[in-house]
Amino acid sequence: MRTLVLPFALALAAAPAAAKLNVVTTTQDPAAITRAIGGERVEVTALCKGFQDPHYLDAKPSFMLAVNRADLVIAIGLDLEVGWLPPLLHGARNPRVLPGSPGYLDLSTLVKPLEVGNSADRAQGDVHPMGNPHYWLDPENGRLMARGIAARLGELDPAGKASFSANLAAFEAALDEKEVAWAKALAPLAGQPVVTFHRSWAYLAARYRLDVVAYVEPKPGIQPTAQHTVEVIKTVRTRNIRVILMENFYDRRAPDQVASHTSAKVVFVPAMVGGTDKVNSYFDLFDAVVSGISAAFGSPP
Amino acid sequence: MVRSSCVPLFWGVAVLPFAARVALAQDPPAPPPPDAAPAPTAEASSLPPATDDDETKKLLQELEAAERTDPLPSRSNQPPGVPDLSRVNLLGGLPGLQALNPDIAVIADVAAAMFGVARASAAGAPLPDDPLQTGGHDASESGFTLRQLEIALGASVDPYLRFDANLVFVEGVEVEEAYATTLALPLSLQGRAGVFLSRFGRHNEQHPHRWWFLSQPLVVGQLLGDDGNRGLGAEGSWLAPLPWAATVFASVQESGGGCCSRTFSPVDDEPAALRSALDLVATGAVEQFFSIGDDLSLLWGLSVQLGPAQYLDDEGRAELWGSDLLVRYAPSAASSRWFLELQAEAMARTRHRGGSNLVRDAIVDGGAYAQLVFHPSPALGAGLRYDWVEGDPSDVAGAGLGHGTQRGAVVLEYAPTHFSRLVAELNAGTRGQDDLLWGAIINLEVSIGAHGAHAY
Repeated sequence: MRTLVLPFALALAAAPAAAKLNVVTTTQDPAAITRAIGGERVEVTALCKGFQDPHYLDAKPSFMLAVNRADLVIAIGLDLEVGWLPPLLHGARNPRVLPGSPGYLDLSTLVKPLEVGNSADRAQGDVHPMGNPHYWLDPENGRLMARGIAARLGELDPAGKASFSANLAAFEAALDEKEVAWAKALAPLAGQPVVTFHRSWAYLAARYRLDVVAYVEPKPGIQPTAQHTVEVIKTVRTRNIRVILMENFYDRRAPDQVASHTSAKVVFVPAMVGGTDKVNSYFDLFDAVVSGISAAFGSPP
Repeated sequence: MVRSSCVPLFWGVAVLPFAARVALAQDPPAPPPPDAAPAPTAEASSLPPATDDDETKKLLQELEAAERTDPLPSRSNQPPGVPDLSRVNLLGGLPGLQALNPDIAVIADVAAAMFGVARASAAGAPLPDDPLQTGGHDASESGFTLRQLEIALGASVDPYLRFDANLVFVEGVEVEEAYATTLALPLSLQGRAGVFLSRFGRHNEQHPHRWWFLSQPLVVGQLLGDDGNRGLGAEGSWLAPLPWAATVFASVQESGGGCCSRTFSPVDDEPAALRSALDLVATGAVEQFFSIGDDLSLLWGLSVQLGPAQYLDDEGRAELWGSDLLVRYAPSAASSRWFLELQAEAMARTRHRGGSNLVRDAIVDGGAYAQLVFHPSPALGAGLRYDWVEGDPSDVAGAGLGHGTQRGAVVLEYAPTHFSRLVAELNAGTRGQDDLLWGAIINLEVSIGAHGAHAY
C-alpha cells in the first residue's frame, strides 16, 4: 500500500513546483514585460489586445474565466480599465487576485503619474483625476514596471526568484541600450510642437521633450467635432506643426482632415504592444513609435 | 442604535493607527525624579485650558517629530503594488475617509411620449386603448414621464463581501435591488443575499438604463412582472471548470407580488403565503459563453423558475421556462468601433391546479422577442425589435395581453458620451383583438457620479 501511495504523494507535492504561474494582464504591454521577466516560468494572457482601445472593452465571460484561473492579475490602473475590469474581478470568484491580495498588482503604484489632480468634472471629458494612465509610453516607467513585476513574481514563485532577477537584469540592459538609440533619434526634435489625438502621449512627450500643443479630441474621450477640427487646423498652421501623433485604434478621419489642410503628417502608430503584427515586445513598441515620429519630421513638409 | 454604537467605533479605528504611530515614534518619557512634585492637573493649573488651535499645533508638532524619526514612505521606496500612503491626509483624514465612500451614481430617465389607436376593432366593440406598454418604468401616457430616478451604490464591505443597491424614485422609493455578494468563497463559488433581480433570462437582470429600447419586452411584462422578476432571497452560483465560461445559478426568493413576481403572486402588494419552502420561488439557470475568435461572441442561457400559484387554488403550481441568446459581432481590428448584436429570448409558462394532470391539464402560455441592434460608431445606434405573446387577456397573472399579441419597434440612439444618451422609439402593435396601437417615445438619460461597470 505504501509503495502505491508514496509516488502519488510525491507527484502531488511536485506538481505545484512544476506548474507555471498563470498571469493575466489587462493589456499587452505588461504582458510583454512579464514574458520577458518570467520566461518559461509564467503563462501570460492579455485581455485587451494592442489594437483595441483599452478604455472600452467588453467584460466578456471568457475573460472572467481567465481571471478565475489566474495566480496574478496585473493592471495598468489609474482607472484605465474601470469600465471593464471590476466586473471581471468580482465575477471571477478568485479571491487570490482581488485588489489588496498578493495576486493583484496595480502597476500605477510604481510610477509617478502625470496630470494628477486634474479636474474631476466630466464636463472636461473622460477625465482621470488620479493621473494620466498611459505611463507605459515612457521607457523609464517600463523599467519600473519590470522591476515591480519581477518582485511580485518572486514573491509568488520564490523558486524562480534568481531566474526573474537575471531576466530583469537582461531586460534593463537591453532597455539601457535601446534608450540611448531612442534618445539619439528624438533629441533633434526636442521642443518641437506636436498635436496628438488623445492624451496618450503625455509621458513620451515629457521624456523626449516634445511639446504637445493641441489635441484632435476636443476633450478626452469626446469625438472630434467639425468646429474643434477647424481650431486644430488653425493651431497647426499658426505654429507650423509637422506631426499629428495618434494611436492606431482611433478613427483617423479627423487627423487626416487636419493633415489635408496643413503641411502636418499623421503618424498613425501603435500605442501598445500588439498594436501591429510587428510590435511584439516592449522594445518593438518604442522602435515603431520613435521611427514613425522621426520619419515624419525627417520628411520634407 | 446600531448607528450610534458604530460611529465611535469607526472613528476609534480610524484614529488609533495615527495615535499609535505618534506614540511609538517618540522616545519614551523619562520617569519623574523621586522627589519631584506631582504634575498639576488641568483643574489645578492656573493656565487657561487648551484651545482647539493649541491642540492642533500640539498635534502638528507631534506629527512633525514623528515624521523626523520615521518619515512616511515616499513613492520611490514603496514596495511594489502598495498604495501610496503619502497621499493620505492623516491629520484631516478626509481624503482617506472619502475614498471609503461607495461608488454613487444618479441616473435619470425622462421621456416624452405620445400614444394612439390607429385602427379600432372591426367588430366595433370598445377596446382598451391604453398603450401597449407593460413595464413599470415604461412611458405609458402621452406627455412627459419621469421613467425613473435611480441611485446606484456599490462598494466592498470587507475582504469577504461586496454590497450593491439600486434605489428607484418615481412616486415613492423602491428598493429595486440591495444585496451582498461574496468575494472569497472557494471552489469558484459565489453567493448573493438580499433583494435582487433573478437570473431568469438576459433582460430581467438589466436595469432600464442598460436597455437598448425604451419599452420592456412584452413577454417579460406578461410573465415576470412590471419590474421584471425580483424578490428577497439568496442565490448561489458556480463558475464551472470547463474550457468555456459556463456559470450555474440557483436561488430561492419570496414572491414579490404583481410588480415583481406576476406568475407566482399576481396581485400587487400581495406576496404568496409562505406556508412551506415550496412557496418560495426557485430559480435555476445555466449561462454559457463562447468566444469565436476575437470578433464574434455567443452567450446562451437556459432558465427555469418554479413556485406557487395559489391564485389558481391552494395547491396550484407554476413553472417558467426560458432560453436566451446573445450574438455579438464586434470587429476588434484597429480603428473599428462598430458592432452588431442580436438578442432573443423565448419563455413559456405552465400552470396547474392541485391534483390536475401535469401535462393534459396544464395552462400554457408564453412569448418571445428578438432584437437586432447596430452601432456604426460609439455615439450612434439603431435597432429593430419584434415582440410576440400568446396569452389570455383576462388572465389575472398576465398583463392583459391576448392571443396573437405582437409589437414591432424601431429605435435610434445618440450617445455623445457614456454618461448621456438620447433614444427615440417608435412602436406599433396589437393585443390580438383586431386593434392597432402605436407609441412614439423619446427619452433623455443622464448619469452622474461613479457607476460600476456592467457585466457582459
